[in-house]
Amino acid sequence: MNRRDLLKMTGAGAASLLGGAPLLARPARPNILFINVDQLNATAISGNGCKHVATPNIDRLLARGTSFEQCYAANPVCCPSRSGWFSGRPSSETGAPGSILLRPELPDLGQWVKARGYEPVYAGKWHIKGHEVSESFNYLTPGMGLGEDGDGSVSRAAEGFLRNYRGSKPFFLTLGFLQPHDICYWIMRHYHNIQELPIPEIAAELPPLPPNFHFDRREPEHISNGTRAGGAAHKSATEWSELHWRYYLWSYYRHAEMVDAEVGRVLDALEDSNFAKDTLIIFAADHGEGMANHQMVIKGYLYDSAARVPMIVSWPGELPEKARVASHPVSGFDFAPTVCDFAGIEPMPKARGMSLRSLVERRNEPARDFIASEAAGHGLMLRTADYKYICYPNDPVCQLFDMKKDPWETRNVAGESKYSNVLAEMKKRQAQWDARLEKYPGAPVSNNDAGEEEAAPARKQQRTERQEKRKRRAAAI
Amino acid sequence: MAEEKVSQSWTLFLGPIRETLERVPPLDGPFDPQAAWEHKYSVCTLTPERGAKGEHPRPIGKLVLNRKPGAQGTFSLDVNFAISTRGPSGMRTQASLTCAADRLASLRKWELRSEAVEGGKPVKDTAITETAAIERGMLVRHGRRERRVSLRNPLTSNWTLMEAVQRLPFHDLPPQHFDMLEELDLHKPEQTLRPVADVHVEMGGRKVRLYGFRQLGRGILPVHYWLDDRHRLIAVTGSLRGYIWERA
Repeated sequence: MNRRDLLKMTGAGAASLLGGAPLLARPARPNILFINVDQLNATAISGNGCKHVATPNIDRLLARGTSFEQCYAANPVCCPSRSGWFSGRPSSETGAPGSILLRPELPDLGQWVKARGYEPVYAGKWHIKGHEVSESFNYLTPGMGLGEDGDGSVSRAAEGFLRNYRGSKPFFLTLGFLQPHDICYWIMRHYHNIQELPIPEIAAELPPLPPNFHFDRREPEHISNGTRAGGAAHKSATEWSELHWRYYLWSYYRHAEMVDAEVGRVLDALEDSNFAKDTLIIFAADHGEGMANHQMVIKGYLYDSAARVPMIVSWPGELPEKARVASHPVSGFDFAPTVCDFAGIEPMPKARGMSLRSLVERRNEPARDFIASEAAGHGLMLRTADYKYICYPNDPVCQLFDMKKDPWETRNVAGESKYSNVLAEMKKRQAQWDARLEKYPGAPVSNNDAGEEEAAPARKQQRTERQEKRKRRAAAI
Repeated sequence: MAEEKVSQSWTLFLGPIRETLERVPPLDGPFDPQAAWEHKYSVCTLTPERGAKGEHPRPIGKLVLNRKPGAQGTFSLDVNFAISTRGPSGMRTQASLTCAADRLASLRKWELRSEAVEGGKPVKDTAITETAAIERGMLVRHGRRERRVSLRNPLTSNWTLMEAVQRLPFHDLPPQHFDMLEELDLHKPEQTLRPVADVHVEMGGRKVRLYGFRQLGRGILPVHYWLDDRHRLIAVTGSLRGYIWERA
């Protein structure tokens, strides 16, 4: 029996569970379209119940696929989250927590699928140092560092590709959109507290503050003294009035709507193409956005606002639709194994995640007790179906949240005797996770590692190199 | 409207292009927005510096709008839009539109061609051609396949709005409600356009009064259109995207 036969058998099992979906219609090697967006909070989607935003196109995917409601970024920062997607491994192995590096000697998913008969194609944000995207993929267009200016080029290029591709190989098309990441620039422009609303017409539309705007201050010092005090955005936000926070939320939702429109262009193009029936779609965000939860903005920490992300798997006609996996935690590390599984190729070496295919196909719940997410400063989050644990090395405060009773993470129960067994179990899992990894200590760290003394010289060196590069570029012009 | 009120919003909505505007010479001579004209704009990113220390527009492309009056209350608008995204990569789009000469320059029909470019050359597999028309309250698009969408509101685009605002009265205009097809493709519903207060700016060493319109709606950050007293569109500022007058 060859691999193709095996896949057909898997399809048969799935088809029977899907109420008789046509067995032979499913191609053994589907095209795969991966749409990723940058900094989309999992709650900022109208199909997930938010009344302050309209995302009809992401809602289309929700209606036609399986949504993983407890999906966590491999790391709530762009680069290490993305290296988690494309290697299946955490940044402590591929570079360092918070690092932008995916070591060149490790394969990326583009290289992996290409060597196994797929046409890897890419448009938009890549942002993984150590691997040249144009060497791993057929690179259509890079987009640019701003969603408002670059995302249109990405979706247009994708539309063109879906109309024109005539290759014999199945494609693995990845689209990296920047929005709603532009909220970072909105925040820069709005550091200073506003006295009154600059756009009076929107006063009645301002969203309310989230239930965890007032929160439990028993946080790791890495957050309370580091993240909150270190970054200009976080620092400025500590002075914002409630009006300012609500204006920020209103603006963030508009950013989310911007990327939704780009997603719509791609979905329309796919529907109009020859590939609509043969293409698996995966939609995900690299990390979330603070959105005033715990009075935080942007990313880089392990509260759900930054670490939990949307993830949808859709293949209309072939996989269950309007499905939600509500309690099973999944991870950005699961992306590469899932792609390999659907593509019918072997998983990437030492991928730490697992394929979500059986969850999507409702065959069985794979055995996994917890998932992990890393953060700058060697932070670690462990999430089980019921609890969430956050710790930083040498930090006197860790966090434990009872996610069933307290989904907004308003009460740190780590010090409560009632939860001492849970905490002890979490620490055991932490040891299990650490023991599994082959950590790579030598990588440069990113700016997001603020607070790490040992990182300072590396950061200074990186800054100097960037400045020199800019000078050389300016001189060349 | 009180100018004092506007001065508070200055930094947010016009501040990013203030220095660039100062270098644009004031435009003398008549201008008839109903007649034939061609305007060229520099397309800029308006990225604030870290720490909000300042803002300097960075040119990334060109937009040329060419208007010609047409028959039976219509006009044609040719759009030539090119941006460079990163290094030698970019995207160029050309469109020929027929619009109603109404307040919103409502779309009637158009042809569009777009492609990604690398070093000035088209990137394989990225070219798109499309035609579309509004027929009995339906948007009918012919790309690879025909796609029909029923319309609930007047439909215009970001490019045609740049034509339309030049024909609008500066004051006493009730809010205009419409849907927008951004770049003739991305559907952005529930848009509103209304006048905002006038501001004085320095242009080429002279103090010039600019008249503003503000667009709000789904899928956009506030967009402001700034016109001189001849109704010539001088600049458009979105959140991070700006268009600044270059030449007629």
